[in-house]
Amino acid sequence: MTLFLILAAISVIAAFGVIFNRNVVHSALSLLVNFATIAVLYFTLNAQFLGIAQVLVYAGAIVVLFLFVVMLLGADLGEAIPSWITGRNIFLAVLGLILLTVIGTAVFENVISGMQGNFTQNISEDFGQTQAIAAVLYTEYTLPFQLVAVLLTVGVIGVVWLAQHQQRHRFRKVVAVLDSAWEDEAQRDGDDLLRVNWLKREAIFDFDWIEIIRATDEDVERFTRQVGNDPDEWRRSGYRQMRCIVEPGSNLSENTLRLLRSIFGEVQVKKGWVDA
Amino acid sequence: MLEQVPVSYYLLLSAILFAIGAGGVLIRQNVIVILMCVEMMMNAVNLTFITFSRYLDSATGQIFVFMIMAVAAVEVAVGLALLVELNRHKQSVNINEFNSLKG
Repeated sequence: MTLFLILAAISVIAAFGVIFNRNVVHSALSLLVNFATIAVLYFTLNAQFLGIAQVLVYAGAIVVLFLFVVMLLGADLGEAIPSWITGRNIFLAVLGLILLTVIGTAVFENVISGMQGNFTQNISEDFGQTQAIAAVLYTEYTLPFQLVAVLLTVGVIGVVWLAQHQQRHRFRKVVAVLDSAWEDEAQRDGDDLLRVNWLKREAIFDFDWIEIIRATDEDVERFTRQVGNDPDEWRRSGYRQMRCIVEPGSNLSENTLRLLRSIFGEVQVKKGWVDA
Repeated sequence: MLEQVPVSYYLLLSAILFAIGAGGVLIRQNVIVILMCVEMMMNAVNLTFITFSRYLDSATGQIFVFMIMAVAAVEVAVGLALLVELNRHKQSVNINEFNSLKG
């Protein structure tokens, strides 16, 4: 009885700790304490196998997964909590109390009855806990057991798909195109190339190289001014390595070309027959 | 020593843990904490299963808990993967930010 009361107190305090810790890492550690006390309660209830499974699955895998995601996303993301005592929270706490009252009444008002099985403490002592569970699991509950295996497989495939899905729709390369004769804003070229018409868009975006097909000196000057004033530090450092292809159709002055050379690493002026 | 604890004490403890978990789901807005509270509620239900398994001398409750553990593991993995994807879109894990069904 004493053991039960101590464990119950610890698990309830830890459960409150999960909710009322402002730091998500502390919440996860409170959750770990909660899981651990429940594992010990399993031991007191003649469920040693599940007590170990609880420690392995919940404390070992799930809490670590939580902590991993918290570290990945940054613990400070999420809600700013100025105060716990707000009208909304009090209302929700009352709702929780009502739920507890309902369940508690159900617990105390009902006489618990059911068919007594043969899974007594003696059988698990003579036969072995894990063996006794396995005997039931692999005979009576074979189909649910296999369905759980299917569920785990579906879960793994789903998570991998979720992780890859994002990449599949992202274009590998983006080209900034300056072409005054082109009406569209953007065009897909093959599977992983996106050509974006800067003259239609007139805004800065991430691109991998530049193609100037038909553009006036003013257009190019506007473009270079925008690129030169790019506030993004990371993007600005990439411009020095970038290639800028100037097609023969664009009749750019020497001054404009110099302007391009001052920003981009390589300016490639294609020679060819110019349509007059 | 362990025999002296009445079965209703275990049931009441799991009811308390379930209510705390439900309250946490409602009160908190951080999706990570909400998922933790959902796990806590599942644990409370597991405790009920094990209590009845002990009380009725039946292994069925323990089998159920075994299945629920597998489901909980999958749920957390998928939930956190979804959360990471959502965080990429919205730069937040606040549940109030995730209010549009449009990608």
